[in-house]
Amino acid sequence: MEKDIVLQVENLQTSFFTEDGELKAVNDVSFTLEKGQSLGIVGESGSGKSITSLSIMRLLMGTTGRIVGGKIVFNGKDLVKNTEKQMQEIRGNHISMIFQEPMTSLNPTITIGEQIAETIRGHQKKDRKAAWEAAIKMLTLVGIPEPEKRAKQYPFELSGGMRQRVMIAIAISCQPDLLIADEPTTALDVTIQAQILSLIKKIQRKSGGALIMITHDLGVIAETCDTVAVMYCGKIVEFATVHELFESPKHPYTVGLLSSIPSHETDSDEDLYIIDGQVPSPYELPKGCMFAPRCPHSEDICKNELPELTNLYGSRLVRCHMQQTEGREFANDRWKSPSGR
Amino acid sequence: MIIFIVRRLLQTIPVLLGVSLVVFLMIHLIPGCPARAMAGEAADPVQIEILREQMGLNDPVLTQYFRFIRRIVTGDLGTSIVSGRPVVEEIFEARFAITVHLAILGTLAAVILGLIVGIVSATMKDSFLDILLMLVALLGLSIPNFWLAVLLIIEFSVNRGLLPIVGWGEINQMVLPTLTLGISGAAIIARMTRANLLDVLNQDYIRTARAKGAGERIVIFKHALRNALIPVITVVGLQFGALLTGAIITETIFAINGMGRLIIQSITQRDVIMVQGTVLVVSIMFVAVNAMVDIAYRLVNKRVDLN
Amino acid sequence: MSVSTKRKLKKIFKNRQLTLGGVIVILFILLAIFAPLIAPFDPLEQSMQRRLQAPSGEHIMGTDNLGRDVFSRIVYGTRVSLVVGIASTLMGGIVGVFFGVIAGYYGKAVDTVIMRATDILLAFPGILLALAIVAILGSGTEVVIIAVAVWAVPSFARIVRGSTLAVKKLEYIDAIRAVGAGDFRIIFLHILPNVLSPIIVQATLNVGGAIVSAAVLSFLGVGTQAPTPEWGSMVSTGRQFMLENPHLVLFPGLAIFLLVVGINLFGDGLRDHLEPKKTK
Repeated sequence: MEKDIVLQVENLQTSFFTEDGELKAVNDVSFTLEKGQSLGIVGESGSGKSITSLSIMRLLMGTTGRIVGGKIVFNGKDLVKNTEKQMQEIRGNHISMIFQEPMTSLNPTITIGEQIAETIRGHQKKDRKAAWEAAIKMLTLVGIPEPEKRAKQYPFELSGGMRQRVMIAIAISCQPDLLIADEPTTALDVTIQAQILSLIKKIQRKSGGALIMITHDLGVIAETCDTVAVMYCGKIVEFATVHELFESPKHPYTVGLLSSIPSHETDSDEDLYIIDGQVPSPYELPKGCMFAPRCPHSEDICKNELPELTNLYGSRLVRCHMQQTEGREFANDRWKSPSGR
Repeated sequence: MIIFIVRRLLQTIPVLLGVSLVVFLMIHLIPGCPARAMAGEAADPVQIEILREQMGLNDPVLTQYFRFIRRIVTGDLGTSIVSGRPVVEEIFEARFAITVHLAILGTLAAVILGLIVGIVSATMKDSFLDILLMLVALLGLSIPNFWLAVLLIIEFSVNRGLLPIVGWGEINQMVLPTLTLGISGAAIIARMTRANLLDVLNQDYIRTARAKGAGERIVIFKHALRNALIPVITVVGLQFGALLTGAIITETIFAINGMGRLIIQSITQRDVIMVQGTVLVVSIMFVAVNAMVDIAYRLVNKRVDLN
Repeated sequence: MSVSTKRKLKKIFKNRQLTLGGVIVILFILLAIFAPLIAPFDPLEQSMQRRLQAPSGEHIMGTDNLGRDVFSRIVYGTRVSLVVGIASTLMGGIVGVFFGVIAGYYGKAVDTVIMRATDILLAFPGILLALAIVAILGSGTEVVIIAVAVWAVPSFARIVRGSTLAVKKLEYIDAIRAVGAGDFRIIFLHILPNVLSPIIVQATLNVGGAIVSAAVLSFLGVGTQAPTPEWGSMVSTGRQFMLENPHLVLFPGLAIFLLVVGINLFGDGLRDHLEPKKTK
């Protein structure tokens, strides 16, 4: 059992240090990921989900961000303690990442074939020719037609969807144990989104590696993940299997997120639910529960005390006072009509 | 691409025509007239009138302009009032080559020095060395190059006796003029390179390169520098123009017989025909260099092809 | 609210370039205004007994080949440099802004003609055009001002044209036009105020460039003429005596250098402050 754990994040804390003080982007986040498993991290922008992934990759250079606490145990070794040199060994080789913006994430002045081949050369003992051939094989694998011709082209000659396929090819070129996809479909056309998602899923199944899918879109999670962590203001507020989460959301924020998904059954004329209020400024976080100011169920205790992440059953975790005391279900319909209507 | 090159070259034609018009008008805006200047202050009006007729100064201005253009195209820039020799001969015998040589050396010095300082500064952002280098660059940008030349002479020629004060041809004679010319350009290129490199290092594709496990050297030299240098190409072109005029000062100070010194000598001797010819040649060179730089920019920057 | 105003103040204060540059520039302006009070000697007074003296208690920067006090000449030289720098920038700036606004606002043929004209002016590298003008009009401070002003016109025109194009696209300009405002009114009341920041930055940096160009012309002997104290011509004359008297070239050059560093620091700081996007 122990052997199967690919990644174990323990009490991860990442902060940004700006002129106005410390900004706790990731605040005490923990989760584990087994081989072949896929975890979704969902949240609004600013929830800390992307910073969590950049922390795992130790890719915070160039920013004021720094990991200030916790462990990131990958294949039994704590990445936080690794040197930059050791991290370069791991990046692209054992852990890879697909980014949100395929338009800007590829180097405009280098052919796409070389951008894949250099990753292979960087981690495997292959000469130029062998790496180039491997790169073409990767392009074929991600479903790019005429790979020999495409490999010699520059990113500007490819469409957004094609570029994201190239990004995936780069990411999987060294068969990583862990693939992190950070909003891989957000910048793409709706019709392309489904193709890219199923490609990522297919590749993960085939390789048997672990996947972290970072998104603001619960629909993406439903299609690709086994378990899901809901993040809000740098903290995990709910952790569940995808099935459990959609079946019975325990945190009011999750309920809100679910209610804001457009569904096929609802009339297109009907307004979608929008969670009231705004994400609090990271400099002025509420004293109690971060979600309390926007929560329709909040009571005095919510405003004054930060709830603990509590284990309900199995692997099910939730960070909510209301759930701890009563274990109640939040009715979905209570969200359907925003206050004041 | 070929279409672009042709179009860019065609674009220079109206500019060159405009330049020739301005240069042509120089003579007509001068108080008094070149005929009087040629004949000398003591010449009698009849002599001047004969000269005016000979030089065609009595014809309509437009006729004169077309004649001027025709002459330029056939490579005739007139005859120097002072020496009586053809302007083309004076310029292209030796002076042209010297000035071009000087400007190329200055550009090379500026590019090499500027790139090194810019790259070091950007990779060590906010370090003591970075702050120091950028301070030096700001000073280099602000130092008037005639004063810099004098300082260099005092230090290296007078105090240390290492390098000669005047002349051109020997390698040791080239050091100080090249430095004088190159330093302000180096300062500009260093600042540009640093700013662009820092900008590029924030781009998504740099994060991608790091996510691949690329080391810092590959990230900077393979992924960042190439993109950061594209805008610098334009600056190098503009710098070349600045160096052409910088050559006027440098040549005057170091007594180098190039085109720059010729312009100043001609102005003080009121040899308008010579000034006209030299200004025209230098401007044509500048226009040509800028066109070449634009073409080079296109060749390097493949992204713009789509638009 | 209070946090953001505090942040703004902090930013101005932290902009050390702006502060340092501003202090240097103000010091030079004071030097120019109060020259008669500050200069210990008459800048034109010659004395054969005192010629070529090294810096001393009496002549803190020594004396020149005609026995004139170098420090006094430098103090008075501030006037020439500042006047040339500011006057030529004003002249070139006004003409350039005028053509730039017209080109950007009216577009089409007007734009094409004006922009081709700036192309032509820009085809003369650096001070070459200024030299050509001096060759035509002869030397002297007034000619230098004109020559340097002409050199400044195209850069102002280009910058203003670009900004005008951007402002013109804003919806409210259409709204004002719909209300019936005339071109003149739109340009002066609505477009110019909106393109002011780039103009101010360009003007500041241009003053520095103009001062150097003017000094270069004088150094080459075709600018401000003797005996008027001018830094560039002081370096030029000093050059003949620099083997024994390096102070004759060091001090006037240092004056130009300091003033230009001050102006460039101020201009850079101003740009960071007014147009923060461009620097980040």
